[in-house]
Amino acid sequence: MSKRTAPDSMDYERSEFEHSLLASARSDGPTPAEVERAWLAFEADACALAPLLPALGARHEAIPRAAPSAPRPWSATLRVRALKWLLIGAVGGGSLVALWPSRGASPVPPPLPVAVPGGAGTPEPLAPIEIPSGAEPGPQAPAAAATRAETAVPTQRRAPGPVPASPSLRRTELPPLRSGMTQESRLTREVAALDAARAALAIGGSARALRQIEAYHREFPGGALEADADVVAIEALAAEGDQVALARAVQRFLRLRPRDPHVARIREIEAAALERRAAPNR
Amino acid sequence: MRTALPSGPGPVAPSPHVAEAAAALELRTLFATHYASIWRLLRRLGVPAAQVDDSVQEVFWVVARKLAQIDPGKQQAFLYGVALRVAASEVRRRSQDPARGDSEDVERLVDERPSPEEALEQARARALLDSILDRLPLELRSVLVLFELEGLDVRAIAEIEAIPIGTVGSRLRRAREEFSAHAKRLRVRLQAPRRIA
Repeated sequence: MSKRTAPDSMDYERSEFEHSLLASARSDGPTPAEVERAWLAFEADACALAPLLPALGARHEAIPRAAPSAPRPWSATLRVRALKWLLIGAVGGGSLVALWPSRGASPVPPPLPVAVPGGAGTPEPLAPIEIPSGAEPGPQAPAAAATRAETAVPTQRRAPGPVPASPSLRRTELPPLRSGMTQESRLTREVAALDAARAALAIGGSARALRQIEAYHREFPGGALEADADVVAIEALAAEGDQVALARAVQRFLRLRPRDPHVARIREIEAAALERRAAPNR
Repeated sequence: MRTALPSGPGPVAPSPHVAEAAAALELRTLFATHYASIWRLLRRLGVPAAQVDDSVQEVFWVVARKLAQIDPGKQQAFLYGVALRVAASEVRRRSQDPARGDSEDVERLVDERPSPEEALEQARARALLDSILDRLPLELRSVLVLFELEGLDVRAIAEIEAIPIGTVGSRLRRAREEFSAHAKRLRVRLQAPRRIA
């Protein structure tokens, strides 16, 4: 779609008054900060509407629920309209949630990433995925993490309706917070850090994604989204073609999180990598 | 611009997750790039200020759902097309329930601000502009806004509106005539002596 770069034959003489009226509209609009807030609200509403999707066959598992206490600047009317669009979308075969991998879940296993096996007791911490030597450590945290407002924060994943969470699974207790950091702000930053890693992976930057996951582990030791981070790292290792590191990471994940909802996804990644490796020999 | 996925002989083909991540990234990029212009477009198409944020979000809900079906390079046209439909729907609702409209109206503006110079203040000028645009039929209003305010050419407008280029030209001509006529009348009213209450 093209915009005019110079007056063309469709231009016409207009009075100064008309010109001033038309010109006034060009300076109208939201500020960048307002756009960012709108994005966060949009994201949060997508999360909030996720529970309504299973009956429609949508893959709502990929969307975490927004924090109940998070500010909700959008009106109830809008949510009704958004739901309308989702309903239409589900009927038409589309799904918003398919576009929401940024919460790091897989459509195959029902994700419950903040749950760990073991019932009572302190969950065993999962060591950060080892980064191949070729991938140098990157910056501590992605810039996006600093820019995200601390609103509309998903606090924890939801156990999807069709697959109830096992009683033996329990929520991870987050490690103590630094002074001045709320649980929500921490989770916001965790989500942003993983988003950045996934975004890098999505455009082929697997080494960068690995560095960002490493930075995530440094920044958020014992973080609520560690399992998600490990899945991203495993995907990145598969994309790198580093079979040894991939096998090691998969084994460690399965050993430490044998009942994690991501297990099926992990096996899928590993199988695809092995298949890819074996393909030239067939 | 559509994000290119990794291609070629990589060790592992892009998983559905990678494709989804790319789509999410694209949606976020579209949001950051076009949110403000869609906001302006909806506002000028008659969506009241109090509802324009909601309507913009509605547009992006549709885009999010349809993103995979939008051809590369057509995202902006698709966004504008959805915005036109959302605006039409909102205007229709508003016409059925006038109470939903903005509290400002041109009568009050004319009564309180007789000076043409003061009318050049940006916010007030926009209110006056909207009062004129409100008088145009939506099919003329949308072409005028897309051409005069968004700076699109007739070919792009034809694509968005799904009408022939010649129709765009004729609508634009009629829209300008009506806009000019309303602007002249408004200016006369603005220059008239202030009414004393």
